[in-house]
Order: sequence, then structure tokens, then C-alpha cells
Amino acid sequence: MTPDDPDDSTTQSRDSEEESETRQPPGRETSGDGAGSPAQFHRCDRCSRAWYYDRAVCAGCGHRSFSAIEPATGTVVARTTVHVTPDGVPSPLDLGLAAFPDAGHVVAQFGAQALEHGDPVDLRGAEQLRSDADGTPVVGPKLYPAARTTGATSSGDR
Amino acid sequence: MSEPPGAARADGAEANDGGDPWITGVGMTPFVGESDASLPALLETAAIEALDDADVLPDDLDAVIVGNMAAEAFSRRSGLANVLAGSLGAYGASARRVENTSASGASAIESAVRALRSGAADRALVVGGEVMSAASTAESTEIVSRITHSREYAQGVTLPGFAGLATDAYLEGADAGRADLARIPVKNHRNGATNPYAHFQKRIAVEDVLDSPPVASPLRLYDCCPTTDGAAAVVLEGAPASPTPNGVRVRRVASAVGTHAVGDRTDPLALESVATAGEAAFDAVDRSRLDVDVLALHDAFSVLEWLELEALGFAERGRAWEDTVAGEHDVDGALPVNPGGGLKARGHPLGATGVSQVVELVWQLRGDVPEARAVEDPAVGLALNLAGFGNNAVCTLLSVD
Repeated sequence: MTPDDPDDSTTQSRDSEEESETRQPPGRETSGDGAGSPAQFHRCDRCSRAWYYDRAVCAGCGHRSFSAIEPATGTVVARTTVHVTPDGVPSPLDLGLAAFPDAGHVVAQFGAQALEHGDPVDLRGAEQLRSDADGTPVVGPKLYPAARTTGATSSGDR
Repeated sequence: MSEPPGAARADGAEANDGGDPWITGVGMTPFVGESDASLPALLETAAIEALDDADVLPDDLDAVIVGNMAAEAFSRRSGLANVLAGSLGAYGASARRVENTSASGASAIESAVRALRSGAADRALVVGGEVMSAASTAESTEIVSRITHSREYAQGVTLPGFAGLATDAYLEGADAGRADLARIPVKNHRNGATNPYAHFQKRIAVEDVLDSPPVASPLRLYDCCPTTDGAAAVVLEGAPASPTPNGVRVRRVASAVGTHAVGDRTDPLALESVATAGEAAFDAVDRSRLDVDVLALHDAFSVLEWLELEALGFAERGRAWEDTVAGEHDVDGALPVNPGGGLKARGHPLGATGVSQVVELVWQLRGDVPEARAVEDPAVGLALNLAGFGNNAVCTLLSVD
């Protein structure tokens, strides 16, 4: 489903998820045009609560096995441009806080352009986001304008 | 689905076995941008000042607790509590370090209070300290950003980044404007100007804030606390037979953890850890919010002062800014907030901050401050020390009797 992500099992351990998300070698980057695969969220196998941030135990019901899902299109609820960033992080850095329906919030870098409050967004791709302290590229998804559902530009990225 | 994630449990609300401890001595070093002294030396200075203030000898101590976040990263030191206790000669005392990121100081006090309440100790020394000046601002930001969730860290998110997002969302949702937000650092700098221990002892104007360099829009430099070197200390004694003339009573210390990832919050502007810790503190004592005369809040970034006032129940959601603009949080206002200058002007040496907040409240409750920043006859004070951007919160309630 996601060619960039070797860990496509439905039940993920925290460690393997972290490894695949943050320490991929640079050769796996995509072009950065927002055409990458949607980022995977977690959904609890028991109560169906969904979220983005890796955790060991479901905050809703205490269950420990989750499935990977792709949430519906989100909405930008806050944005900032950070001018003082650590070494290895781009500056200035455009960050957005997006709300995803029934799947919580995500803080992530904007892709091609910084968006406005209320803009529909998807979290996708596997681009270099920053470098780690030892210079290793850190790869992950960014926030891109959502593909229009009523327009003619549906590229069928499934 | 069931209840939202967040602060699920609050400690400190259980039975009051040994009675309320009293703070019988306080001390702190000046908070400065770059100290010539080492971290152990700063801890010693603050400790000796507090011991002398309490008229307690190191030999009398049962517990020595050091609050510090990142001595390994900033100072290449560890074992701080043993270093301090050994230097003081507090042999035989139980000694340890407590780490809870930027709330390490208040968590160290909480640990001491628990030891005193349980009867495990009769006299405790708590010292919080941090030396951050060896690192550049970029390095400090990186060290502190290591507390974030791995998926937040991957995005390059730092504490100023979270604060920029929260400020943007707050100003979008409330009628407050950018200039209204600037009233917080202006107030805290005015208070810090008469605090000889403060990192910044100069007044600033709203225009200075609005003209300062952008850090994380809409936040600017003068909305953000500095990196600081310093230490602060308190001596606590278990329920004395009669109130000590110079003592301040610790009514309750309560803390609560919230979500680790900020994005996991159902409402990104609701600091649930703060709300839970505050409720636990008030539920345990015969005091209400209306009894509080002075607040020491964790204004690492301007907007946090509003978010904490709202989470603690001192203002309705989205309305705390109105009280700031009306002057109610000034030293002579109805609810003075951060009369010592707050983190913005007093400075923010991570592990020292929570202890310095309590030191300021003790001075206020004793009447030991210059008139310019003295709250009028305060009887009850509240301190709120925040870890990260609300990962954890520690609420302390103090009273004169």
C-alpha cells in the first residue's frame, strides 16, 4: 500500500514504527510535490478510536492492537512560521496544526506552500523533514492541500 | 468513545497523614544569562541561603532533593544531589534528583512534601538549578525539543513552535489582538524591574514587543522566556507544633500528566494537565479560587499565562486576555500574576523555575519584597509549574496560616 514504508502490517509495534518513520535512509525520499502516499494513522482494533502519534496503549479503551488507516481530509486550525530552529531543521519553518475528522490533531510541516485557517489538507509523502543530531536525514509526511473531490484533478493515488 | 485522552490521574489528593509541612527558609541566586559559577556552586549558594534563613543545619536534614532537567546535556554533570549533600555535609540524609523537564523544581518540592507528610522525613532541603549558558540558543532549543514525541521531533517542532501555533489559534478564536498579548510581557518586565534576582530588570513597552524579531509567528522575541543560569532553594519542615513566625504553610502540591503529543489533545488550547492538577489541589484544601491572592504562573511564552489562567478556572475559556488588558493581573490588580517577573523577566533556568516560583510566593506572603512589586496583604498563593507544552503540570497552594 505504501511503497515507502516497509512496515505495512496491521499491528505495529512502537519500535518498528518509530524506526520506519524517523530513520529511513535518504534514498527513500519522494519528489516533494505532495504526490506521495497518505500518512498512516492508527485505529484501535477494539474501540475504533483513531490517532496519529505512536503509543503503546489506546487512550480510549486500553487495548493494545491497532490497525493502520488513512484518515479523511483534515482542516488547518493553526499555523506558524518558526524563525529560530535547531541545527538540522530548516529555517524559516512553516508548521501547521491540522484537525482530522475522528482522528485527532497533527502538527506537521507544510508542503509546497503554507496554508490558511480552514484550508482542507492531507498528510502525505515521505520527504526529508530535517537532519538528526548525527546528520542522518529524518523522513516523514507533510501537510498538502487536499485533492479536490469535486474537481477534475483527481489523480487516483490509491 | 470514552473520555478524551489527557490528564487521567492526579496525585496529591489523598489523605493528609502527617499534616501540612511548612516552608521555613528560602534562598536563591540571582538569575543571569551567563553565570561564572558552576551548577554545583549555584546549588550550594541557594541551599546555604535557605538553610540560614530557616536556621537549620545540614546535619539536621533528612532529605536533600535536587530538581534539574538536563545537567548531562548542559553541564556534563550528574549525581547532583550527592554532590550537594556531600558539600553541605548532610551525611545520612536521603538524597536524590528529580527530573520532570521544565517542572523539575516543583516536582522536587512535591517529593519533599510527600516525604514530610508521610513521616519519612522531618526536615527537607529542595534545590532546583540549571546552567544553560554553555549551549547556544540553537543548542538549547534542540536539547529542550528532545522532550517531544518522536513524530513531533521528526517535524522539527520545538517548544516555541507549539507556542506559535497555540497563540495563532487563541488569537483566531478570541477577540484579542497581537497588542493585547504584548501586555503580558510588558507587565512581567515591569514586575521584574524591581526584582534584584531577575534576569531582566528593565521595563519594556508594547511597541518593544511588537517590534522585536519574530520567533514563531505571531510570537516575537519578547514573548519568549530567555535561557538562564540560576538556582533556588526551600527548606521544609514537617508540621511544627505551632506556626513558625516566618514560615509559610504548604497546603497542597498536586501534579498531573497530560498527553505527550500536543496533537493528541482533543482541544489543543486546553491544558488538561493544568486543569487536573489545579482541581486536585483545590479539592484537597478548604480554599477556593476566590481565596487566592497572588499567582506565579509558567509564562515560558506569553500565551501560556492565558491558557493556564483558563485551565485553572480563574477565567472562562478565551476570556483571560480581558483581565490582563483591564489591569487585573497587575501587582495592584484584583488578581496579581507573576509579581516576581515570571519566567519572561525573572528568567527560566529549567530545573530552578518551579522552586523560584515558590520562593517568590513565600516572599510575597511574608511581605519580604520591595513595595513596587508587593501584593497587598496576601494570604494565599498559587504556583503553576509546567512541563513541556503541558505534558505535565504541578500546582502548589501556599498560605500564611
